[in-house]
Amino acid sequence: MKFKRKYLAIPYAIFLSLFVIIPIGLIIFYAFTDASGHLSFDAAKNFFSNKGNWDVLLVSLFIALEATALCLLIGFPIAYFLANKKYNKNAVLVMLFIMPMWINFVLRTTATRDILFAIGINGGNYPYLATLIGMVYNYLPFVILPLYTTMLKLDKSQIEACADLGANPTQVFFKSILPQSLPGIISAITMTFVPVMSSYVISDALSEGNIALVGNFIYLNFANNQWNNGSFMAFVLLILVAISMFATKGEKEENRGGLW
Amino acid sequence: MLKNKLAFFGALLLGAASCAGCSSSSKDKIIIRVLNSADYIYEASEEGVFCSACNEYLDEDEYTTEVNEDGEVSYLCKKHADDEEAEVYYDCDMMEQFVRYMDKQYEEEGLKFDYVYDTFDTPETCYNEMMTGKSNYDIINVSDYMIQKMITNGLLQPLFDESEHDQDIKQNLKDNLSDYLWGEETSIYNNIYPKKLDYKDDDKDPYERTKGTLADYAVPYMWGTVGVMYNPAFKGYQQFTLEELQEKFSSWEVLYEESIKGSFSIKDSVRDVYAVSILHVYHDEIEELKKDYDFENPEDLQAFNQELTVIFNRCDERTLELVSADMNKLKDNAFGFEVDSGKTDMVSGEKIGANLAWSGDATWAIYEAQTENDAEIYFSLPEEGSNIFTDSWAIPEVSDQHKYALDFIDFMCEEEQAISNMDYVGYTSSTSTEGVLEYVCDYYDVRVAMEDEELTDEELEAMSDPYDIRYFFEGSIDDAPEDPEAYCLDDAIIWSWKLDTEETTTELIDGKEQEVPYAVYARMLRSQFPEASQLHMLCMMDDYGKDNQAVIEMWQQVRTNPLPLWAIIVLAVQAAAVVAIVTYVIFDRKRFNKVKAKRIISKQK
Repeated sequence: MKFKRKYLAIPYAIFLSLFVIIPIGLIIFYAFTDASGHLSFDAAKNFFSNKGNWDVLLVSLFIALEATALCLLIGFPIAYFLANKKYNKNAVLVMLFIMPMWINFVLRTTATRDILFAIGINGGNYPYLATLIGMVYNYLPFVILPLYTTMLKLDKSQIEACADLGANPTQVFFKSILPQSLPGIISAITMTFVPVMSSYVISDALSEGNIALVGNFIYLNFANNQWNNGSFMAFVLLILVAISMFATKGEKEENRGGLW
Repeated sequence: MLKNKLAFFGALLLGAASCAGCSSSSKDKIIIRVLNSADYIYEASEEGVFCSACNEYLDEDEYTTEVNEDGEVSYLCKKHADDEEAEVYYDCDMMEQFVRYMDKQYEEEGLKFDYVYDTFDTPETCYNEMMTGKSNYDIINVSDYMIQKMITNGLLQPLFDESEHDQDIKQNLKDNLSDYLWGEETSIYNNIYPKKLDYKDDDKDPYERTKGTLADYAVPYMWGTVGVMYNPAFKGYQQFTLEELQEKFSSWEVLYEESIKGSFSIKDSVRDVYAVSILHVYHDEIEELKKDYDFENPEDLQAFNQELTVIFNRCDERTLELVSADMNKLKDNAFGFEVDSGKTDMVSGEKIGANLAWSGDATWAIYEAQTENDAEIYFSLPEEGSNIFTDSWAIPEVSDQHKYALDFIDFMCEEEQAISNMDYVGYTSSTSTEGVLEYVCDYYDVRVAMEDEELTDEELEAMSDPYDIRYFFEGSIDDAPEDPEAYCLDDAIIWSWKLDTEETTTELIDGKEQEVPYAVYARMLRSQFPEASQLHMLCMMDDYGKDNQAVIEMWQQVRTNPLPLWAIIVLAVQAAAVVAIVTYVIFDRKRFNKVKAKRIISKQK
C-alpha cells in the first residue's frame, strides 16, 4: 500500500467524529426523545412554553451582542495600530495583549471580581455592567488576534490611492480599510459571539448569579437528570450557531484572517 | 501496512490510557471501588511515620519500630521517647489505611486488597453515572435525598443480610453511630422511606413502605444543617447592635427584610433555597400546628416533627407557585446567588455580611475569619426550623463485593477514622462514641481548656454556658434535657465557652503562634451541633420524585430576570443604527452607480 497524502487526515477524522459528530448526534437524539428513548417533542414543548427560557435566551443574546460589539469597538483600533510597524516595531505589543490568555480564565475571572468590587462595580448592583466587563476582558484577545492578522495584510497602496483620489480620512476608512478587514471582523465575531452565549462561569462569578445564560440552564438541566430538556436547549444553541455561520458564509475561506 | 501501524499505535495509546486508570494491582488482589464527593475523606499530606510532638514526618533514622506478640506495630520517636503525650503513628490516606486494615483482617484467608478511589462534584453526577450503568463501584457516598431516589430506582442493595458477618457489623454500627441518626426506631434514617416510582397527586401516601427505610440501605457519614452565617462587623450592619442582629437572624424573616437588602448571598442550589422558602410560605400554618402540641412532652415533639416534615416536603402545583413567588422576593432582596464563593466571601468580610450556609462551611468560616481577619462570624439556625441533611455510604446494586463493601462502611464509622475524617473535612461525623465526644470536648469544653489552671468548679461554671448535645451522643429527639443543672461531660452536656468570653489561647497557625479568643469555639460549637431545643424543627427534605422537573422549571424561572427596559432600549437603538447604516450603504452604492453610469455615457459621447 502506498502512502497517500489523505492519510494525514485520519487523526483529525477520528477526532472529528469522536468529539464533534457523535456528540452532536447524541444531542439531537436526546433533544427529540423522552426519558424512555421514544420519539417525543416534550422537550421542545417544555422549552417553548416556559417563559424563563425565552428570558434567558434574550438575555444571552443581549450579552453576546453587546460583548461582541464592545470587543470590536475596542479591538479594531488596537489591531490597526498593532499592525502598523511604526508603533509596533517587533510585535512585543501583540504579545502584551495576548498575555492574559496565558492565565487560566477562572483565575482571571476571580481576580476581575475582586477588582470590580474594589472600584464599586459589583455584580449585586450592576450585574450587566460587571458581566460585560468580564466578557470583554476575556474575549478581547480573540478579537484582536484575527483582526491583527488581517490588518497585517492590508493593501497599503489601495489606501493611498483612495486618499490620492480625494477621499477624506472617514471615507478612506469606510471605503477601503473596513472592507479590506471584513474577513477578520467576521472571524472575530464568530470567535466571540457564540462562546459568550454559552459561557456561564464568567457571568456566574461576576453577576453574583444574577444573570443566567443559556449555558447555566443547560448545565442545570443536565445536573438534574433532565437530559432531554438540556439537550433541546443545546440544540437551540446549535441552531443559533448555524444561523450565525450561514450569515457569515459569504466570505471565501482563504480570505479569512485569523490564526484558527 | 500503514493502516496496521496506525492500528498498533492506537492500541498502544489506548492501552497506556487504560493502564493509567488502574492502580498497581495484580490479579489476586481484591479491588474495592469507592466513589465519593471530592475532598470528603482524610488524605494525608505525606505517607510515613508522624510524630505529634515534632509535628512533622520522621526520617527513617529518627524512629524505632517495635512489633509486639500480636503482630501490632508501634513506633517510637527518638527525640520524644520519654514524652508520654507524643503520639507516633504511621500516617497515610484513609483508603490506604483501609487496605492495610483489610489485609490484616483477612490474613488467614490469604486475601489481599487494593482500592480504586474516584470523586464526583454533585450527587446528581453520581446518579447520572449510576443510571447510565457504566459505573461498577462497590461503595458510594451521596446525600440523603439521592439515596432515597436511588432506592426508588432500584440502584442500591440492602446493606444487611442474615449472615453472621452482616449482623455483627449491623450491631457494631448501632454501637458506633448516633441513635439520633441511625439504628433506633426513632432515628431519622429509620423514618424515611423511598418514594413510589409513579405516585399520583391525590395519593395520600407517596412512599413505598414495603421496601424498607433509608436505614436499610445507607449509613450516615457526615451531617449538618442549613442556616445563616452573619458578620456583625460588616459595614452595612453598623447601625445594628450585636443583640439586634442576633435577634434578627434568629428568624428566616430577616432575609426578606428591606434593612439588609443586598447584603447577603444565597446558595445557587434549589434544595437549600426551597427549605427557606417553604418554611416562610407556610409559616402561619406551622404556627397553627404548633398550638396542637405540648412541647414538654417528648412524644409530642416527635409527632410534631413528623407533621412538620410533611409540610416541609410539599411540592404540589399550588405550593410551587407560592414558593416561586417567595423565592423571587428572596432573590430581589439578596445580593446574589453563589456556588462556592459564599464562605470565602464571608471570611474576607467585605463583600457580603450574611450567607445562607451549610453548618460545616460555617464552622470552617468562623474559624478562618477569626484567625485570618480577626472577624467574628456567627451562625444561626433560625427558630422556624430548617433542613437537616446527611451524606451516607451505600452499596450500589451492581456491586458483587457486598461483604467487603460493608467492611468498608464499618471501618469508616469506627471512632478513629471518624475523628480523622471529621478533623480533615470539617463536618460533623455521625459516629457518636466516647472518643468522638472527647474529641469534640477537646475543642469546645471549658474544663478541658482550663485543665492546667486548677480552677474550682464554681469558677469554671461561671465561665461557661451549658450546651446540651445529649441527643446526639446518647439518643434521639425525645432525650430532651431533664435537669439542665446536672450537666457533666459523661452526659454529653458540654461546658461551652460563653459567646462573649474574653479568654484567649495561643495556637500555632501556619507555623506562627497566634492569639485566638475562646469565643470562636463557642460560636463553632453552635454551628456544628444544633441546639437540643431546636431538634423538633429540623426536617429532612425528600427527593422531589416525579415533581423534579416541575421544581427545576420553577427554579429556572427564579434564576432568570426578563431583560431590563434599558437593555431593550439599547438593543432597539442599536438595531435602528444598523438599519440606518445599511440603508445609507445601499443608497450610497446606488448613487455611485448612477454617477458611474453618467460618466460612462459622457465618455461614450
